Amino acid sequence: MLDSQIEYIPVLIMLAICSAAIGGMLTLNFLLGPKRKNAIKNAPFESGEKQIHSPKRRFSVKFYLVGIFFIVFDIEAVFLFPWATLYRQWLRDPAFAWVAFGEMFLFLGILSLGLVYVWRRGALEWD
Amino acid sequence: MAADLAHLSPLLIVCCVGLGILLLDVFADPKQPKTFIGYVAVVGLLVALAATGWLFATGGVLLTQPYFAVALTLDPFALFGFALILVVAILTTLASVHYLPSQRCEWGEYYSLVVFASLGMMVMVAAADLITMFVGLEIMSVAIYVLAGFKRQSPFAIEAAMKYFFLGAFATGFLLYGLAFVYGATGSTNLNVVAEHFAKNDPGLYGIVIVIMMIVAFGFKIAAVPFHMWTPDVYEGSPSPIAGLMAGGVKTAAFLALARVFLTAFGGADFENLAISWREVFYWLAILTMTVGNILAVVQQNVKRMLAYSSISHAGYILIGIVASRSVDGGAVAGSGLFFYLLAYALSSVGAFAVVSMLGKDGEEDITYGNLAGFAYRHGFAALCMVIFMASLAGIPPTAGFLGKYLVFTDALAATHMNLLPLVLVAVVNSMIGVYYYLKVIVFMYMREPRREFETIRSVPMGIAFGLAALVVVVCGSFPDTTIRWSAKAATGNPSADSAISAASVIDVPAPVATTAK
Amino acid sequence: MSGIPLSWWLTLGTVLFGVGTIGVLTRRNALVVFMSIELMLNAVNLILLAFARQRGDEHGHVLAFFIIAVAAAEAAVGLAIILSVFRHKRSVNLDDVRALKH
Repeated sequence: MLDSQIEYIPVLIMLAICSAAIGGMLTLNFLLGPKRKNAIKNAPFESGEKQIHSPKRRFSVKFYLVGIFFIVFDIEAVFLFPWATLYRQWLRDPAFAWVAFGEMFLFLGILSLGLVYVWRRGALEWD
Repeated sequence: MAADLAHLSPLLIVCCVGLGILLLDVFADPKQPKTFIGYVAVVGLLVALAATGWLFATGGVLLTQPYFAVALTLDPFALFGFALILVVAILTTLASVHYLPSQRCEWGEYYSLVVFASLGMMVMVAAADLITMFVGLEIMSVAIYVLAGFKRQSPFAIEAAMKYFFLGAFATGFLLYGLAFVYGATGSTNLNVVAEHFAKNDPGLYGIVIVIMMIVAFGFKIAAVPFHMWTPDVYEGSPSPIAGLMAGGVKTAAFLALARVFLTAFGGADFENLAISWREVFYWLAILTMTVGNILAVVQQNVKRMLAYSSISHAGYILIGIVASRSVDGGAVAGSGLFFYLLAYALSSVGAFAVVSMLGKDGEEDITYGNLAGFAYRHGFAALCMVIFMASLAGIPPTAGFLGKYLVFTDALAATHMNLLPLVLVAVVNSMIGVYYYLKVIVFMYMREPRREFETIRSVPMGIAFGLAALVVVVCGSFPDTTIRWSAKAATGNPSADSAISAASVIDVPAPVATTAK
Repeated sequence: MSGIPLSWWLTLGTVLFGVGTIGVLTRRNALVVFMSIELMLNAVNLILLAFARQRGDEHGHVLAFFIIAVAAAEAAVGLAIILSVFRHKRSVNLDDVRALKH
């Protein structure tokens, strides 16, 4: 067996233990557990809070808008990480460091223009 | 640095104009009509056009800073593309200012989206790196997805936007898969480095994957058969000026990017000898695209759909220009006919869609042939311009379209690397079929009695848009010397063909800094 | 690269890409189609990172970052378009969106 393959033996053991544990619990439950079916037993949260309404009903589309803004602005932060990681290296060449600094703030500036637009459009207001 | 920024001015100006008018819109009085935003956009784009002209006159520039040079090339090829895209964007904007209120979809974002879409197209044609090209493509596409559905109260527009979005995003997936393998095979995404790598190494299996994926991706963007099915629906549902932008701008940008990618990066001899040579594939795609586009255009009842199919068939003719071109010294593009043809086609279609924008009022549009009946009696000038555009698209002298076809066919017959005579013969037959449906428009406009009173928009800026386009089409067709000289200049390609390879040494910007730091 | 050979990553990425492609071509629910497209993009990211790891450089990571950011922008626009489709048709089934003739 190759060395590279031996590395993965723990993963295999882990998989086996997990499957055995889950399979065992389900089987034992099925064999030993009492079987009395009624409405209360079938509720999603047995002995918890009573359900107020079906979770399948629609919710306000405004959540969608906020969610989208979050995703768009959040994902843009992906560019900050490599920049921040490399910035200390770039500091040793001051000319390039200023360029890198300026470029990132230009990028953030354009992003904030987007935020200004969103705010002026009234998309951040809840009503 | 400062010199580089000055050289990048066309892109920077367009970007600032886009951001500026976006804010102008939200800070302006909401009750005021948005027309003035359109005019501000036109002025901004004109400034960018002037900057492009200045750079083009100097014959293309080299970017000195490595971090710019690895991403963008400002050769005459790119600058020619800039100028064409900017002109198309200006004409689109002019055609829109009165179209939007009459179609009840006047929101200020429209103009910034048009400007951002143009920015994306410009980045695409100037890209020296596949990542830059991809980002440009997406800036363009995302803006166009929104613009396609801009008449959001119309179910047609929403359907158009959805189709365009799904197929566009699907094609992007293929493009990226191809890009990933370019990177895997060469370790770089810079076009020159990729070209250099493939000049020395056999592309092999990766080469086949790359070629197939890239052809599918670009096939969708240029609407080549069999990747064309979205085109008529999207053109019909979109606002008419935006259909013009798609036909004139998006296609120009996609073709120029395609030419640059395939001729620069995959132009090597080894790519010709692959089991699937992209030149062969484009050869057959060109035949299919011309023929299918033309035949389906004949049976259309709706003028916008007819123009959509006609734009498909034109993609076929332009592909001939691509097949006939050959890269010289890694980067240069031979075949100036391609550029002349793109100019003629872009201006004729943008103009034709600007005329079509007139048909309709109060949120209604009726663009069937029947509604064109008697158009010439009420709008003599617009009808005359439409005749010019139809003649140009059909390839009838003395318009630019005729000369474009002539030059592309000459290039194809002069090509030594492949026998393109059959392709040219198919194209000539197709051009003759094309004359039928283009003439049909003219017949309806001039020789039919108006069926009923039809609603049209009367708008001076719209008239300026198609008037200017018609003027350019006729002038380029009758006195073509200057335009041919420009096309030849654009075709000489990269002024830095030899020095651009030095990009290989600067491709990794942080690396030299990191090593000196030790 | 320790352990898993490159070809396995490429196979996994290609299979995921294929699943996405088939999803786009066969599914009729707009949201599922959209998710399939996202799956294609993420399959490409996986391939890029595998290549980058094999070569030990960062260009692949850069492209992957751009793909992530662009996918977010596409998601914003795409979901907005699907939302307007729903407003018009009360359905996100692609078969219901057939106003334009073929």
